[in-house]
Amino acid sequence: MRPFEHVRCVSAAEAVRAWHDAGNEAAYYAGGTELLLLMKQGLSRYERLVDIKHIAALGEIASTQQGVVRIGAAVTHRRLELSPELQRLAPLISRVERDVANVRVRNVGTIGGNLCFAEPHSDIGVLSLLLEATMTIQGLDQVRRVPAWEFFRGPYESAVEQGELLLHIEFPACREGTRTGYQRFRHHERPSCIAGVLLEPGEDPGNCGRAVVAIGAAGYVPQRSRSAEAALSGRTWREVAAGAAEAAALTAAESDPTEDLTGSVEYKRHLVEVLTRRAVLEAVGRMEEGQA
Amino acid sequence: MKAPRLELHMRVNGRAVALEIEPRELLIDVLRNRLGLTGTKKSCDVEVCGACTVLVDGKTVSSCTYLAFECEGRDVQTIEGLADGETLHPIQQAFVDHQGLQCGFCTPGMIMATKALLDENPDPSVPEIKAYMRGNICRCTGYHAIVTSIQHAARETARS
Amino acid sequence: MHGIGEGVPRKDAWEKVTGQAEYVSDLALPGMLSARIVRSPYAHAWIRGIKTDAARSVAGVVAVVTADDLVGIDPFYGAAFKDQPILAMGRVRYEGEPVVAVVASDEWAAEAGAQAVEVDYEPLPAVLSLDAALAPGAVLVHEEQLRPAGHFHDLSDLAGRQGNIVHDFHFRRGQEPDAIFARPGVTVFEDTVTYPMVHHAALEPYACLADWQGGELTVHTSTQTPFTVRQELAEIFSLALSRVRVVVPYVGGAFGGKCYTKIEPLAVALSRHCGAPVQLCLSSAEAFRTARKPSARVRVRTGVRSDGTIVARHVEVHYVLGAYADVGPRVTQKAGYVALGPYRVPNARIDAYGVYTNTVPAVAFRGYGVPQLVLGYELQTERMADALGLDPQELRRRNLLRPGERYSPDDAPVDANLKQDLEQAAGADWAAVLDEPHTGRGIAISLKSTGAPFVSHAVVRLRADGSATLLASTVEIGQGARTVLPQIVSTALDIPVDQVRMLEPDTAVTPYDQATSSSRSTTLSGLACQRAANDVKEQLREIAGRAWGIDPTQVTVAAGGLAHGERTMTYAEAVRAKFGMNGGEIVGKGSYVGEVGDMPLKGITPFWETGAASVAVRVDPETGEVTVLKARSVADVGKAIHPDLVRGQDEGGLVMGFGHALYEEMAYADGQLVNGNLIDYRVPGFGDVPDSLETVIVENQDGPGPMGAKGVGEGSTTVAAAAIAAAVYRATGVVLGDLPLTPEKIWRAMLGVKARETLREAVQEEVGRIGS
Repeated sequence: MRPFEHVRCVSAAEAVRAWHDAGNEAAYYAGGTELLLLMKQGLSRYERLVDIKHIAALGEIASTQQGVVRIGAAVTHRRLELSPELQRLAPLISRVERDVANVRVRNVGTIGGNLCFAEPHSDIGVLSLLLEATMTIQGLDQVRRVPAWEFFRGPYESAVEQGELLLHIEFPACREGTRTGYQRFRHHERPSCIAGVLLEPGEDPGNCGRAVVAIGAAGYVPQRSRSAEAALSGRTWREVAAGAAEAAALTAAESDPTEDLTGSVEYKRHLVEVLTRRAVLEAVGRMEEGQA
Repeated sequence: MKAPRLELHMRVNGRAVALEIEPRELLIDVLRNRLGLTGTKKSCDVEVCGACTVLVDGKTVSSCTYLAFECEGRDVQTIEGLADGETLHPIQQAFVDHQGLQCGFCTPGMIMATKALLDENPDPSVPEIKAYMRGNICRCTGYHAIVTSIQHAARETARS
Repeated sequence: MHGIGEGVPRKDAWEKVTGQAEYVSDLALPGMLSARIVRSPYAHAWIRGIKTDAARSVAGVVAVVTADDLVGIDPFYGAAFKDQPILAMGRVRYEGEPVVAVVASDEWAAEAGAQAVEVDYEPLPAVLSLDAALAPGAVLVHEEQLRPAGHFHDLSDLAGRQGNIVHDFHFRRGQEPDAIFARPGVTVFEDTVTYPMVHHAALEPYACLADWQGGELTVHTSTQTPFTVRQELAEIFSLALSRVRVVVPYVGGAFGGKCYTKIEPLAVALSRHCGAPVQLCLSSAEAFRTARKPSARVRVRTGVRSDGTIVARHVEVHYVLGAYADVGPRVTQKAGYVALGPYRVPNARIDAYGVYTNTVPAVAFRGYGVPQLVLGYELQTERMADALGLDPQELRRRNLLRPGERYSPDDAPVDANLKQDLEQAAGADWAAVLDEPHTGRGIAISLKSTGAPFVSHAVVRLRADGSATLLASTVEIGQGARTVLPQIVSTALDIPVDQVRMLEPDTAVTPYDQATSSSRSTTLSGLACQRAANDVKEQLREIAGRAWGIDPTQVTVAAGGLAHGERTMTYAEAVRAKFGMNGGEIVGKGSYVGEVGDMPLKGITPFWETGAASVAVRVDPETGEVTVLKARSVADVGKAIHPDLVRGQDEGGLVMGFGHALYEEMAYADGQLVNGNLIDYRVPGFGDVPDSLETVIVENQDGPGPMGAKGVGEGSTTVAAAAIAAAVYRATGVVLGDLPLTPEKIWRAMLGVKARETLREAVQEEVGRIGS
């Protein structure tokens, strides 16, 4: 690894300034689980690492009385996995986190790093879509908010521009009675396909009021399936179960898989269909068993 | 650029250590090259195999992809710190007794990961063991004997 | 006391669980330099020029070495042919080939120097597949006259190259199979399977520390073959063998990948160039670009009568050996020879070929070419049985070689009970699992000629206090040799095993041993150790006989002492009796030298290694993903000197084979290895191993080794992939022999069968269950 200097910051404004002072030669640094791999291989070179782990707000998990959950960008995967608060507000997170990478990566790697790195096989990308998260990003002169569905621009490319710092992500706490399904197909170290489903009860608890269907790993970016969501929303739970295959087919049709070492386009589209169907049925099944 | 330097103070296996390092120094290199603690092994170099596993404040990290300055003011435990003189830690003894090793290259990382697992979950089920140890690769044993070693280690640790 | 059949704690265990065990990368010498290699980004190219000035000016860089700097030496090496240059000379033949080496005071400087080297290449067309290599007019990977290396007596008539075929081997018996195939009443089956390029992925990547001091050379290296390395280094650098010292500390996994010379010549050349010790530790990614297993295409044609009797078989196998031959020609003939399997085949023909391509060189790998063949003939066994309406086990039993029967007339009789092995493998009651839908059980059985390297020597030094030191050059690669060989010596001398200490291999100290390979060490090095201990015993008897005035044959040896009637003498007393002081020692020597002759492999196999395994799998009918539910393997070892170590070898070998069956494949795109790291190349992990994994040890004391032992360690690897493929066939009806059996391949194959129906039913069922 090339030499670099380490600048430890205690506020976001200070960090952004420290980045710009280095004139495009700096990188924000938190867990380093992705960044250091690139630097060790000489694929990325920086003169300065701007350490954001010591910015208090970036390390917080908080919820407002309005029911909004806020997770600081420097919160580690492991804290997401074990946080009692999140287990109450969005239990899907800890369920998914338990199987992200390995425990060492989860101990060190952060949610913000994962999002900004925008690795196509990331679980966090799918989670952020499922939870309808909004990302807050600080630049030199402004703070802006980007919804999750606009955040992922391409493989390894997010809405965070050069020099901008992701502060936190926010999402509404899951409503009472919300049920989720999450299916991951992992033949390699990183998943070939992920499908997540979130079903929220409507006014009539016998109905699915709102459905979110999100997939990832199959293509360059995680995506939502609006057609599947429309097909599942407003139906009775029995209809949701019966319509799982149809929703899955809609998701597969809407998906945009790309070929990589984990599978061909055709196979990944097939996986999207299988996993989406299973995720819908898992969510309905969990509801019947009274689990989240 | 000229290499900046910084002071690092940490405890390694209970002993205070003070060193001048560069920011780019990885924990594994400080342990192996500066402190002579060569029990920690470098293998995959991409955080997948776990041969370089050490504990920082009780949590496992891949020391091959972890900057040494992160250990400022913290406690680092390596395989060398586990035994009490000639007396092996129950986890080490279980790996000896139940053939949890062959070539030995993955063993320090396996044992340190087991330590973190049992500190967190003293009585893990087999699925819990397999899930937690997912990030440690052994190419020799086929894992069966390691799972057995961990189960016995859990029993022994609970007893002691 | 000796732990025979029970086991004693591994002698290396304490060091390994405390982090004290030393591997090459843990060693340091004063003034030691680090090295980094600049590797070719092209599969095949001319090197037009190399700019090293920028690299030389990097602070800390001591030397930038190219092939032009390798003066005054013979810069080629190779186990079969001297075809591999220490650094590429004018031309690169695979992506990842070493081109330039940068030596520096530390790793950072070496790395910065390596990044500053500029190489100008002119890319050439490359041959990347077997078909491309065999095509008429194919680009030749090597055009030069090949020089046989002379390291193996069984490779003494290497003929050299025809096109890209570097070596071929042929075996005939009885009549031409084609003539038999045409006879009435004979049904012919034909299957072609392919085995991918896979990498050993030992946890310890290649590492070497070379210290050139004038005409004296010391090399600490991670190798299975210290004496071959010594031989090659002596030849390259024109040194007397006595001036080359190769020392092997603990080795962090090998699996055949550390047989024969690898990075040692480069490390030595750098040390010689710089006049300082140089440590060369490859990364895991570089190890992927150093060695792999020979990939293969195997075509098996078998003629069988309706009762299941095999009447003729023709096997054609092509091993793809990559850019340099290494030991590939020997794999080609040694494995090719046993391509008929553990069966009686009266009319046979085998054609085996080793082929160059522009890929990573293929080397020895646990199983030595046999797993590739077993996949072909055992998958066919299952299919034949179905077509003939026979039970596959019955078909196997009908054709298996009996104990004492000969695979070929001049070779050693089969020293295993294959029927017993098969019954043990098939004997598990897995009905509860197999009653579930989408499951299947597969079985495979194999026979491997160990045709092992032929020479082992050992020395036992009985000290004045009655303890012993064992000098033998078997490398501790994880198999437990440093525990088992002392057990053998302690048994022969009848002293506690903790009284026997075995040194690490050091060619300047420990006696010659051809290789730690071929599952040979317990059996053959073990015989040498046993004979050395017996030699000590004979000398002790002489001493006691002289002291007591009786014939030495009347002296009995037991419980660590000598006796005749009422008279007894401890070993320590015997040594004192001989030398008249508290000093001196008794030195015993023992050897094993194999039998050489004019048979297919120019020698009789010292023993046959068998493999037999049964696995149960579930295949997800929609995704094609395979889950291994149960596994049972049979280790027919003659005598298990240390049963736990036998199980360790057998289980490890089986799971390694699962990786080849299901996950592992080095993927190439445009001549580049695109998954040469452990993120993208998946090896089996904790979650891939069934909770029920069992090794059955068969002990008939029918091996030639100490106490009737035979080798272990490769048998389960030879059958693992075949058993998985057979189980997938049983679970899905799909015959798929194109490894690895990835979910996508299985899914595609199932689509061709009746998978659509199954899928629809499964969906209906699941929806019905949840929606009701």
